[in-house]
Amino acid sequence: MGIKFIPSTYTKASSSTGIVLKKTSKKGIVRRPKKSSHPTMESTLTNDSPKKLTQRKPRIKKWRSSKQHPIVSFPPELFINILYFCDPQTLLSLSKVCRQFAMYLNPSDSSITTKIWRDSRKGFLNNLKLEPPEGMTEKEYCQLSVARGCMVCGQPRIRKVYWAFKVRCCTTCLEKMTIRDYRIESEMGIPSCVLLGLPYVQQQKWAKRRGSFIVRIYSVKQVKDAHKEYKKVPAKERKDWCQRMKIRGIEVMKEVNQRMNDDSNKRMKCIYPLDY
Amino acid sequence: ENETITLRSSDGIEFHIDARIANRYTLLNNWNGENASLPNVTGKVLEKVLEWCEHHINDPPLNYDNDDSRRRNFEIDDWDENFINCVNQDMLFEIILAANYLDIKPLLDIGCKTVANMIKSKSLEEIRSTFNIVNDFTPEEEEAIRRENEWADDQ
Repeated sequence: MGIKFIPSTYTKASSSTGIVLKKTSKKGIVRRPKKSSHPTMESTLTNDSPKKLTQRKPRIKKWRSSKQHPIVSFPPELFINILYFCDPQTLLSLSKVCRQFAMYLNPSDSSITTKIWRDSRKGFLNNLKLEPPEGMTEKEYCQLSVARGCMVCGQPRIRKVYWAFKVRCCTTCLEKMTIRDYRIESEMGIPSCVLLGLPYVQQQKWAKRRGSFIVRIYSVKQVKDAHKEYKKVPAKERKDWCQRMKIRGIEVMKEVNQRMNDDSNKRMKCIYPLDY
Repeated sequence: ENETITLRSSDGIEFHIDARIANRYTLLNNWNGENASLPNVTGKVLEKVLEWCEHHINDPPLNYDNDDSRRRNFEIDDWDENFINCVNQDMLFEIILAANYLDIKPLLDIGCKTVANMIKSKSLEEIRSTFNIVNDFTPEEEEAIRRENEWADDQ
C-alpha cells in the first residue's frame, strides 16, 4: 500500500483501489466513497485507518501487459457466474464496455440475458420486487430505476421514476408530457370516461383563490391512444368498455402505487448513484 | 495416520493430499487413485487451490441448494480475502477455472465475487483500462447506447 502515499504514482487506478480498501464494513453494505478531487482530503481519509491499509494489498492493478486480459477469453458459463455477483448498476456499465460484454447483457430475446438481469435485480434492488411492467425487459426495468438523469431533456442526477408513465424525468419535462385531468375535456375534447383505464400521478397544487388542491395528471400520449381505442368501440358497447377500463384502471394504479411505495422505502439500502 | 491420495498436475507435479479433501469435493474425488492426473490444471494453480482446500478442511459440510440469496450475500472471510489478494489477476482467473473444473463451488464463488468486486462502482473507462479492453462499438452502436437512456415517445 506504500504507493498510496507517493504522490507521483497516485493515479486514478490506485484511487479506485481505495474504494475496495474502504469496503470493510461487515454488513455487506457497500457505499461508494465520495469522490474528492482534493489530494489532502484523500490522504486524511486513508490515515484514519492505517491498520487496514497495511493489511491489504491493492486488489486491482491496471492490466499492463500487452496480452489479452483473461476475462476476455473466459468461458461463457464462468463469465455469467461473475455477472451473477454484479449489481444492476455494474451490469449497466459492463453492457457499454465492448461488444463482447454487450452480447451477454443486451439481447432482449435471450433467456440467459433475462436471467442475468433478473438475478441481479432480485439480489440487489430491494425496491424492484415486482416483475417488470408490461412490455418492459428486465434490463429496461433495472435501467429505469438505476440509471440517473432525466430521460427527456438529459438533466443529470434526476432519479425520480414516474412508474405511471414508465419514465424517469425532471418536473419540467413531466409537466410537458402530461395534462391535468380537468383540462382534458376542455382542451383536448376527450370525454373523461376515456381516462378510466389509465394510470395517473397525483399532485398537490396550490392556487390563490382555491388554496391547495389535488390534481391527477395523465400522459398526453396515453390519453390520445386511449381515445383512439375508445373511438373504435361501437357506441352500443362503450358502456361495457368503460366498465372494463374502470377495473383495469384500478389494477394499474394498484401496481403503480406499489412501485412508488417500494421506491420511497428503498433509501436505506445500498444504491450508489453513478452519473451518466 | 491420515489417508492420503496423490494428484498430478498437467505439468507432472505430484501433490499428496489428505483424503478428506478429496472426499469433500466430489469431482476431486474422481481423481482418487494411484495416478490421478489433472490434464487441465498446472502445478502452480493446483498448489494454490489445494492450499485453499487445506485451510477449509474443517468447514461445515457444503450445503449448496438453490439458495440464491445466501450464495450472493456470502461474505468472503479474512483468510480467503487475504488468500485471493495475494495472487495476481492471471492466477485469480486460473484459480476460477480450476475451481470450476474441479467443482469446488465455494472457491469458484469466492473467485467470481472477487472479480465482480473489481468491477463494482467503476466507470466505463475504468473498467476498460482495468481489463485492457478496447471500445469496439461502431459509431452507430455508440449512438444506440446513448439513446438507451432516453425516453422513447412512442412507447
